[in-house]
Amino acid sequence: MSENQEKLSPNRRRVLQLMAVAGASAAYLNNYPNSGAKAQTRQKGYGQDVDVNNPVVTWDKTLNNNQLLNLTVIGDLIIPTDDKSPSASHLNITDFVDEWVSAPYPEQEKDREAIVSGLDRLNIQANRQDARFFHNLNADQQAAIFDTLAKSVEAGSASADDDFFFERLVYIYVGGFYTTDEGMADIGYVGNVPMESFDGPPEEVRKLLGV
Amino acid sequence: MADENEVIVVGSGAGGGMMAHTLTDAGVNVLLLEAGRRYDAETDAAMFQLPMEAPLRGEGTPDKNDGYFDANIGGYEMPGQPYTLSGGKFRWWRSRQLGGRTHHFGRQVPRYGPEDFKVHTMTGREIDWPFSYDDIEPYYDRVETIIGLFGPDPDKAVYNSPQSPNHIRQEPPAPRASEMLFAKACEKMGIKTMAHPTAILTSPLNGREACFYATNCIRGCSIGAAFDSVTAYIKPAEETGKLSIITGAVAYKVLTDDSGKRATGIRYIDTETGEHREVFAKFVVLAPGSMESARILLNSKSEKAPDGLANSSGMVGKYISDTMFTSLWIHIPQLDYAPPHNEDGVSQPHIYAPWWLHGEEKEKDGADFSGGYKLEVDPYRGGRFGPPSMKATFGIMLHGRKGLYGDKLKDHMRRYYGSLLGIRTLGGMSVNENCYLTIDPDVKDKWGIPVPKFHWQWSDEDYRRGVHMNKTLHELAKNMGATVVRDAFDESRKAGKFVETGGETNHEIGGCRMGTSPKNSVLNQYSQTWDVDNLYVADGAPFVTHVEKNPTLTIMAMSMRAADNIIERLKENNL
Repeated sequence: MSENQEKLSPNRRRVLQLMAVAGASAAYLNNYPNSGAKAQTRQKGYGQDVDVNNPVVTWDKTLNNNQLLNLTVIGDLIIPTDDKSPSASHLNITDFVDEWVSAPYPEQEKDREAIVSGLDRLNIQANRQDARFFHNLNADQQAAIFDTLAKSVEAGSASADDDFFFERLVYIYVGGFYTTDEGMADIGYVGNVPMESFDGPPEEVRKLLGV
Repeated sequence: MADENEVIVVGSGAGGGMMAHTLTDAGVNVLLLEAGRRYDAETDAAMFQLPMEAPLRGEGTPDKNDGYFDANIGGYEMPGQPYTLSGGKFRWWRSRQLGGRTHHFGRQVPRYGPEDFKVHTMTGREIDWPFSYDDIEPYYDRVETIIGLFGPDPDKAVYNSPQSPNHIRQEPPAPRASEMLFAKACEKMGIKTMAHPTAILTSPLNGREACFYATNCIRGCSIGAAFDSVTAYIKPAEETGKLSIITGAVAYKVLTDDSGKRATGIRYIDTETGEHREVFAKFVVLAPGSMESARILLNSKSEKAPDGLANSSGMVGKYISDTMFTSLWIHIPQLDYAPPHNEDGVSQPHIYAPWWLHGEEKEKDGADFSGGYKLEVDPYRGGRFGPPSMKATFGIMLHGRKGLYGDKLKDHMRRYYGSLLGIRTLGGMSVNENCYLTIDPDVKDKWGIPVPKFHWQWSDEDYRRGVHMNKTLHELAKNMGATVVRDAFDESRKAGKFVETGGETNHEIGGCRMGTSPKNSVLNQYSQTWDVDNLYVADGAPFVTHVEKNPTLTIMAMSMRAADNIIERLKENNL
């Protein structure tokens, strides 16, 4: 088994290195391409025969700066910092949202439409409070608008568009966040490590279940 | 040299790989044609990569249906390689790589039981197989010896679900927490559970290492713990010096002599150059995947065989089937905020409940359908402490949780990660005449080969089986102390689908069924076509009935039996 571990450990190391690099690029907001366009230009998918050992995102990110700034605020409302894990923006999850909604696949194209138009609706609400964009509002105003949206979704009184916008935003942020090392540590995923044997659950878990 | 080949084998998956292995082991020269590229899990598989390393966190897309790291090259939709429908819904899963689908499959290898080969005798429906369990049992033993598997104590096997003998099977891993609860609930319901026979090594075998209880088998296994055709069949076959392989070879026509009764070779497209090439041998074996076998025979029309080769019965393309699959996602409240622990395991179910109702008991229960279904905890649908993935894990955790965000969301994730899980059933299908493929007269693939046109219709009997499966899952959930979060059967019904779309369990078999007579079948019991003496079919196409046991082991056992038949004939005729 120790031989296996040696064979696999470079892989783990590479993951950790990648994590470190991602965490270090905090100035990520400056690096976004600012397409300004709503419609997505035709982008290329990764095809059916990918090099799984060298994954590459084959499409450009397409959200513009104001969309990204709006999303960064919203991302931290969805996933705020607490004593167990950081907020979405600490882990650049908005960058992942941009990757997601820019992808040339039907599910993602539908999400892009929902999220871009949803952000526009939030901007319209901001306009009423004399701000050009949602991210220009102060933190209390942002939180109040978002909470009103969430409550209407919860109550079932939101429009179908708002309902879908909210559901997909949360889904993509949760997906992005809880697949990072910090997110996995938060919920307690402790697998993906080679083991000599599989002996079943620990005693305390068996007790919980009475098995 | 092509003229030295004694046997051409089309396809390198479970059936074709086994065929090449058995033949070369006996000293027969084999030419193997594979439509895809060379693929070796030892170097090509991505095992420990995390979702965050892949585009879109590794989620499935039309390019990679089961996720970025899935070992499969192909899937339901392939550019330039369409298929069409003449009725109902069917999706055709394809794998284009050496080893075919064996890199991706779930490694579940239950044996068919004695009753499964005589459904007609048992129920008066469908037809019986032309051989019995006793005929195939030695082949099950031999296949299992080569592929390696873990399984339950065979003495504890239940009726009609025979298990691998002690001298072949390896010890299974311990059950996971949720599986212990599952076993306890089954016991309350009078249903026996045991380790699921699975082609994963828990001890080293033939230079292959034991499983290290991490990573999903569908990514391929670079240490050879999980069986695949390249590791267990093709590499040893190459070592004999008797195997030649041509990859990028899309076979589309079986060539025959003037009589139309002897196969002489195969015509294929070289995918690199687009050229049409021909290769010749004494025997031809088709194992490109069940649907593709039927397609090739139907496309091998000639003056002598105007309806397609080996199709004097008109049965080529008929009686195709797929496994019925349905699941529930459930919540186990005792596991809320449960202490984190590693339950990756072998990535497949560690235990299962084989079908338990037979004879009078089945009658009394009112279970009016052929065969049955098995029960398992689904390791990859919904929660538990499994590897986090967006749709399978978090999609379930967020299901129906409207308006959740912020601190409440974070708490929700901590509470439900590990306390949600999927329970599932895999059921047989009552093979019926409304499921078949023909050749589309108008549509061709990018090489100009006519494509298959599928017709699919579940039967009333399947519907009754589905209702029964769903009912049992609900009882099981109740006995596990769980509440139901999502109900796949109910959702499918509301969406106007039946259980799942045909083909979506990727157990599509049939299309060249075997039988006792050239009138009602394409093949005899040795998978040899009735019409063309030296032509065999060795993938899932020969299947007669479709029971709840996954088909792969039986595909391989029948392929080995066909190989023995070829070897015998080569010796006898001194060809």
